[in-house]
Amino acid sequence: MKAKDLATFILPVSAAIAVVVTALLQPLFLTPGNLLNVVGQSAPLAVVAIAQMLPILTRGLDLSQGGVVVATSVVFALVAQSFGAVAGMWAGLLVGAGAGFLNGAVVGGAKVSPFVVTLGFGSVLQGAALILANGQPISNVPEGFTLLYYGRPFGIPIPLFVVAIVWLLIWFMLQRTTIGRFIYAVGSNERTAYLSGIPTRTTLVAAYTLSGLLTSVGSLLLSSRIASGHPTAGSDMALQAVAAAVIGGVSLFGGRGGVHGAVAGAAFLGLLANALNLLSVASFVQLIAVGISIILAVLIDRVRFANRGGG
Amino acid sequence: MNVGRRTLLAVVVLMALAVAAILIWQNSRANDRTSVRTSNNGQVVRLAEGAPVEQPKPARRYRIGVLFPFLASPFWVNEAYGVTDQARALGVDLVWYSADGYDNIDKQNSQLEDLVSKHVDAILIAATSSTGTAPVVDRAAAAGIPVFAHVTSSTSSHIISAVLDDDLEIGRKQAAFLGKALGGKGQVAMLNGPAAAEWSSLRARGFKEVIARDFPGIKIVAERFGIPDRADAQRLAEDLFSAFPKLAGLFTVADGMAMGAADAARQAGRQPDAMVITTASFSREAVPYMLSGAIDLNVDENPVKIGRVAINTVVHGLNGKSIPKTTYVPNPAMTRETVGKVDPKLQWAPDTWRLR
Repeated sequence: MKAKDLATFILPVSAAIAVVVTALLQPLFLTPGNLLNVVGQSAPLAVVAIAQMLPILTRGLDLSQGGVVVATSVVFALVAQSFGAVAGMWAGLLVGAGAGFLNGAVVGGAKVSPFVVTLGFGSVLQGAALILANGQPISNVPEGFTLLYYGRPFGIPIPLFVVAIVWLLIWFMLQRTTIGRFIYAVGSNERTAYLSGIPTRTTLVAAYTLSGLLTSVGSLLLSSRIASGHPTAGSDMALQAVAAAVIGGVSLFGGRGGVHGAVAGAAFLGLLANALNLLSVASFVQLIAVGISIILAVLIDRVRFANRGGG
Repeated sequence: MNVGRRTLLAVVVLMALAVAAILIWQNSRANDRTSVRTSNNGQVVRLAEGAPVEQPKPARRYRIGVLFPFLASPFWVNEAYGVTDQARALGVDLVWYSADGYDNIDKQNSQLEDLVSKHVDAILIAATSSTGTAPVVDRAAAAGIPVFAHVTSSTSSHIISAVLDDDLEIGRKQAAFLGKALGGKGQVAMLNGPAAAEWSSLRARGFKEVIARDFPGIKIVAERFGIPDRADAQRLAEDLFSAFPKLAGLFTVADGMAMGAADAARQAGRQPDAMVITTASFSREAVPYMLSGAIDLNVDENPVKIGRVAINTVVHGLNGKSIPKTTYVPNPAMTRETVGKVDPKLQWAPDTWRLR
């Protein structure tokens, strides 16, 4: 077995080992209540990680996600106060899609570094969120809104349904539709893609718009979880999402990886945090553990794809 | 077989196992927790200044989960020292987590859920957000785990008891001192904390309330907001001294700000006696400023005592004893005369102490 084949199995195998070891040391880990908690705790990040995966597949990056999360949260809360939760949610989704469209238009149109463009837009959105919210959390959101996160029809948390729907839709799009193939093609080699007649600009706009929209979905889950529109909570989600995607095998070199990996990465980070909490590992040490697993994931990514050509 | 399929397979297998486990446990699990009857007597208690901290005896070796919003400031380190040292003295086990920042409400909610999963005997939370944590506090209560609060409470009606310092009173004490020191007249400015911070706005409100009521001759000429640290406050104070040459008094919400303002006053060539500066927090670093007269009044937030009293309250509650709904620790006003009498060992975490 070659090193890169071995590397492919490291995430699932190490996750399985971590689960078994934690379960042996702390029997409470595998109780249904705790597992359902982990599902809920990982859900916002899972959706945001799927969102982040799309630009990464095009060999880009979306660092505006933190800004999209807080702007969505605040706009949702402000609109929901006057027009109800449903109108608020639509308004929030519009913020994400609009921001994503602008990201994509600048990245694809002007051929500039997505790193800088999205960082800039993120800062604009963060500022806008603070201005709109007057620097304060908006806590009087419609009462039923917390059900989006805490509701459990048939005993299954609603966030799990949301993740499943987003997961299936994006999987279908990437595997079965033209735009999905274009995204992989642009990420593998943008110039070759362009020369073979693929509309690279449109592809980038689509990838970033969808990314913004999905980030807003994640933001609504998060807002429901903290029962408020919040101008700063979740502002660091872009980097967490990159970490989740990379841990799940989405390559920062573009064109490689998929939606299952992004979900698995988010689930892994959620499980890790939960397991460390249940094992009473001190907070400061936990930061080190999470950091090490991210670094290992990037190294694995490197080993897996080191010998492969254009993809 | 490509990578995506393998990962998919692994995820599907894991999920199937999880679902199976959920179904099995949900059927087999009876309510195996004997719930603790813990409740408050609805009272608000103010502890007397200088009263010794009691040492209740736990009925058994309790395990208490403690949540901090943040641990990278002197206030929280001192508070955490009070919590952990009291737990050690009483023979109580602690599990503590830090959310590592006030913005990490989601992380704190996860930590709270994980404490419920761990079946701790009680949870003691300093909330990152009073409203954002409420749904999870409610769920912990529904799971039969009593939740207490220290320093910052939650809006949930299920908080059994909270141990706090009285921010309104901290502002009022500063106003009373400043008004008297200035003889009831003159120009005063205010340096507040972040506009969104409740602790800061309460202190400012208490200050304004007493100035308006008792000292009509004193005029508040400016109110500024900033991060409660020295550099930011120094910049704000420099601008204030330029804009208001006749400024005689300065209210600051925390002594990091007061130290910055005192530095600015010295650089502007103002004598310590010509400017009355009041503040709160009473950190170790501020003591030299008080001895030199640069800071005239420093209201003690008493973080170590909050931590100790909070652990005592949880133990009393778990023991089934009647406990108040809210306990305010005393916030003594420290001046140049009284600062020398403070015992550093009781007041702050020892230099050698490390949170583990």
